[in-house]
Amino acid sequence: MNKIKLYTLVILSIAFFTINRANAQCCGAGNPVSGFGNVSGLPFKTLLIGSNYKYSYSDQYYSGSDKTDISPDKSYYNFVGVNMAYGITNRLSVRADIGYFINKSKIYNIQGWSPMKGNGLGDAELSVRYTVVKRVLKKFDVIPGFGVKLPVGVFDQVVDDVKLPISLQPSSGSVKYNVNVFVFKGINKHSVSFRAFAEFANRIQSENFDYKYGNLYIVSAYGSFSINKKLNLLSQLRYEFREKSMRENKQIVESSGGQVLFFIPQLNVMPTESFGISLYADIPLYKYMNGTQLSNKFAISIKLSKSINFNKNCEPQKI
Amino acid sequence: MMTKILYSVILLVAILASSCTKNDSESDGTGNVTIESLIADDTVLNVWVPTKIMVTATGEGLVYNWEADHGELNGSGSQIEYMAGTCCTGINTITCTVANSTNSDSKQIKIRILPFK
Repeated sequence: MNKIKLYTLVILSIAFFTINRANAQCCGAGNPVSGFGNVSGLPFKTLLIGSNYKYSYSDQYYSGSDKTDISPDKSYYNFVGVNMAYGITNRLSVRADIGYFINKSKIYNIQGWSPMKGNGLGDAELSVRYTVVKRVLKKFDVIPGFGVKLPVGVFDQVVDDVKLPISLQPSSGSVKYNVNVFVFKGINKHSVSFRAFAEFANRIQSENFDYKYGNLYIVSAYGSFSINKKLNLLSQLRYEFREKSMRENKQIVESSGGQVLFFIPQLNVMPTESFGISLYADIPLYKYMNGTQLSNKFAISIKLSKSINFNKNCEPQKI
Repeated sequence: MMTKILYSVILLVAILASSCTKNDSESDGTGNVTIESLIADDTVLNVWVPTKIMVTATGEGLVYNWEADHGELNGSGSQIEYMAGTCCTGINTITCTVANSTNSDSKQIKIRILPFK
């Protein structure tokens, strides 16, 4: 395998590390997808295009770490996202994400209550990453990044003359910032990685809502195992911690925020050197919900990635 | 190649954006609109307990719009149901706006949601 092929495989493998941010809570305004992570290692003049679909389902209320016997409602959503990332230099890359909720629904176990459904454009995210440490021969990268999420989509959505609750609004309604760092270490054909991520939410102040989601902190550890050139398995352990939300007059929402530990098995298939398909599931192993909250039961996703190299010279990357 | 990809993405975003529409009713009525009362069966509730909220208004060709700053509304027209889960304990505001094509009137009602036990 020549260097270009190897490089493409590495890019696609890293692209698959994109993870869907399944909130500790089941649902909240704005995209479920966080754009961090999958532009790492993008070489000069390489474009990475991706699209993903996610289905998430929530039907279980938790108090602390215990399941409750309460079941007033359940919720689910179907979401599609597209993203593009581009290597401006061998170390600097930019990425744009946008998403669309096909539906974001809630079904009530209350007599006479109809299901409610929101749909529409979610948030857009722009992010920048810079590889501060890159050791090609040692297969070791350290890549910090910064992103901003913009509420370009539908917020304050009204259905049948009734404004949807904030949890069913497709867009988050506020600007969010995130910082993250990604550390990658290749070991022969396999790899281990680590990621730390923090997202800071601004206060939502729309014509109807005055609300601030709690900040979100995530740490993830990955192990990647290459079966062959076209097949790769990835296991991820992800710990999420979300602070409590705040409503008007700085009132703390006691039943908000919490901690979740996820196991995320992932199968990556690369039919060609520049095209990949990834299937994965978010399986919660441990949850601690502040107060009593509806919690995510599972999520499944599929992701397609295509890389295009516009650098005709394809010079080997400098160490 | 790059231009084609860029155009494709712009087209996709435009299609997605164009599908985002508010689902509001429109009225053909004209003239003054006045809300005479906005009342709820209960104004102090436990979580997940629904209550009926009714508005009485005068005017021609009236359309009723509802919104809650916290909690959930279900139904439509001059009578609707409201409830709130554990996310939304405290004093919540429900706003009803009654309108026709020329005028509108709004009124608010406060409902207190008790902490979950």
